[in-house]
Amino acid sequence: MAEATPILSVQDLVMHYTTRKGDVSAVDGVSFDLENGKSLGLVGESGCGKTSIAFSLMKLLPDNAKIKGGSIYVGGTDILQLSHDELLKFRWQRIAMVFQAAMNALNPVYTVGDQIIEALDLHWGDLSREQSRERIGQLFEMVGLDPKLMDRYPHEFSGGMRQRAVIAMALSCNPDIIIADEPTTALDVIVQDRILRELKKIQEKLGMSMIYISHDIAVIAEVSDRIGVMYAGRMAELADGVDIFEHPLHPYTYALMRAFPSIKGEKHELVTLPGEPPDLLFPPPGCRFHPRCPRATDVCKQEQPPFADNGRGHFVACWHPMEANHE
Amino acid sequence: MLHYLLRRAVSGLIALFLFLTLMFFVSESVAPTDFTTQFSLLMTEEQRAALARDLGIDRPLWQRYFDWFGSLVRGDLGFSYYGFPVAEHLWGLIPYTLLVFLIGTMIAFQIGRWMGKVAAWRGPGLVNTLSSISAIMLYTAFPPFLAFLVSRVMERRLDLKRPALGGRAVGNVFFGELWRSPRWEPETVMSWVLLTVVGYSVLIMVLNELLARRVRRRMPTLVQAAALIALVSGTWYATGLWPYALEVLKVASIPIVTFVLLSFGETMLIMRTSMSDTLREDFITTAEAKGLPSRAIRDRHAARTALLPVFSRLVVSLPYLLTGLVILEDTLKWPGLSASLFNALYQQDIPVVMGGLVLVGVLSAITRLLLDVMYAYLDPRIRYDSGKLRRAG
Repeated sequence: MAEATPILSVQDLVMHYTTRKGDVSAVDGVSFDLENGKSLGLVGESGCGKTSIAFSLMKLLPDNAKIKGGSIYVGGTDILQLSHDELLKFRWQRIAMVFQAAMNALNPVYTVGDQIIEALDLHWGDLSREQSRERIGQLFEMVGLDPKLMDRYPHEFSGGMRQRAVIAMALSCNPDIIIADEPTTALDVIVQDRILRELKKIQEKLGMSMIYISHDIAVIAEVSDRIGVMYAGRMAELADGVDIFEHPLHPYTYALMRAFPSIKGEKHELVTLPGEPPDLLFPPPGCRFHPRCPRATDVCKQEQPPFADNGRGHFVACWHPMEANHE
Repeated sequence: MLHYLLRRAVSGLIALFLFLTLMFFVSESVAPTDFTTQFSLLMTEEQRAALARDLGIDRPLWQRYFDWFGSLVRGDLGFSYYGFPVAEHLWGLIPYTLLVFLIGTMIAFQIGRWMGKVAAWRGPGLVNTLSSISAIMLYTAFPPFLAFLVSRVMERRLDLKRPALGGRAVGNVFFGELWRSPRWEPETVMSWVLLTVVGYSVLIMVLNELLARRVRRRMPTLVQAAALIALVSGTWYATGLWPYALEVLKVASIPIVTFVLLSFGETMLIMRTSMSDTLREDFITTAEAKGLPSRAIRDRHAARTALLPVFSRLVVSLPYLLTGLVILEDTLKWPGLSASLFNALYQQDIPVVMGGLVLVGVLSAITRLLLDVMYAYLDPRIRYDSGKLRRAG
């Protein structure tokens, strides 16, 4: 699939949370590549491991989380092998993150500008104060904020403005990759749409790579070149955006799409998926989706399906994929 | 911000007025009957009436209240029933109370803040448990008992000679060669000690803020402490205050240590809770993602933000600390404001009691206002709110 070396390559990532009841296998053997300048969307229900992956990519894990195996290559270096100091330099410089701003991603006691300067000081230490302020002014203009606002405090911003400020902060050190974790979930639909589109434009202009994380496949589809559908800590399907929409191969992807209303597409009845995602303390054997899958057979209960390329870079982990009609 | 402070000042004045009015009527009505009855066995009915007339306590209560309040506004606290002017009497006591109160509060706040920060940062574990247990034990200790323990331990260590005072009498606490023919009276020395310590602390604080604005760096706490000690002792040395100041601090260390032990626990416990809450905030994750080293995350992001509830709590508990100190002074025979309050109460010397209460009230009002200024400085959201109000009004 990959012609050039991908900027990000995740191989067989396994991550567990240790709890009193036992290990929760939050991410189990996930692999994907992200090419330079492209965007990848990760979708799935809450608890499917998409945020755990995002935090693993920056090694921003809580104390009880442990990466048990796999590798994460960013531009050729395995970040799981980095020392603590190297990791501090790596963060924000190579991978930055756009947080959900409504959830207090900004410290209330410092001005927005000061919080961006903090990152610039850390990674681009040789900037003078005037240069830093100029840089922040440019960033603010890029995300559609008045540069004069940089000396304001976060509480003086509206939700949408705060989101833009958080995006400006993520852009500040010219990272190779930006992870947007539920970037617009708390905003109203109109602001959400506008910000996503602007983010997409900035990404294309600066030639960065993006990872979008959302539970809303419609939001993801609009901005991502490739889409990965996650279920219970595993990647169920990974393909180009159009492909996955037109020919979903995994029954879960199919069900997920039928559960969201489509504005542009034809009318269809919304179908909810019966059952709940499994308890990851005791994940079901075989395919983790089999208890809810209408196509499940005996083999699904016993053996884990391989995550295989079914042609044209369309990966799926299913014993009985939906009828694919490529061509 | 000015609007906010003005509002706080006005509400402080109103509270002070209500407090003093209430205390006037309470102390007048709680006294068994009145001053003259103390001498009922020695005096005839006529003599007592004459004394009451002399002291002006034969007039109706409301009239006395207005008289008292009128002279208070003019800054006159009147005369004790024993003849001496109240203001002058209290003026000699203030340095004792202020010395212990201000220095003790500063130390207790810094210790509590630091311990709370470290305990929360370390998370559950031995350090956390031990510091919490000791903070809770000291915070809830019976103050006279703690005072007794501290003075037992420290008097011997510091080789302090204490007069054998019985009962509730409070007298001089400064003895020895130095005070035979001193260049300065102990009260004067205390005032200077206070002025230098508090003044230089404020100076260092302001410098630190200016530094942070200019070069975005702050002095480490240790450097600040060293600078404070150097400045203070340098000034003492230069003015010849050194031996006297040391003696004063040595004697005052018992009440200060007791006060610190009793009051740091509150700060520590609130700081710990506030800090652990702050550490779960999203902006901490942002700070980590930015690649900040953990020290910067702990101090610049978590501790700075966690300080706000601690501060607002301190504003509320200041009057309790002050009144608690007055009780402590009585136990330790430290001749501060308690001398005016307790002794005068036993002697039914109402003007002195009221004078003491005025001082306690004014002191808490002023320190509260100062803390309000600092709080408004620390929390930008307060500055903003006042701006909104000003626009609306």
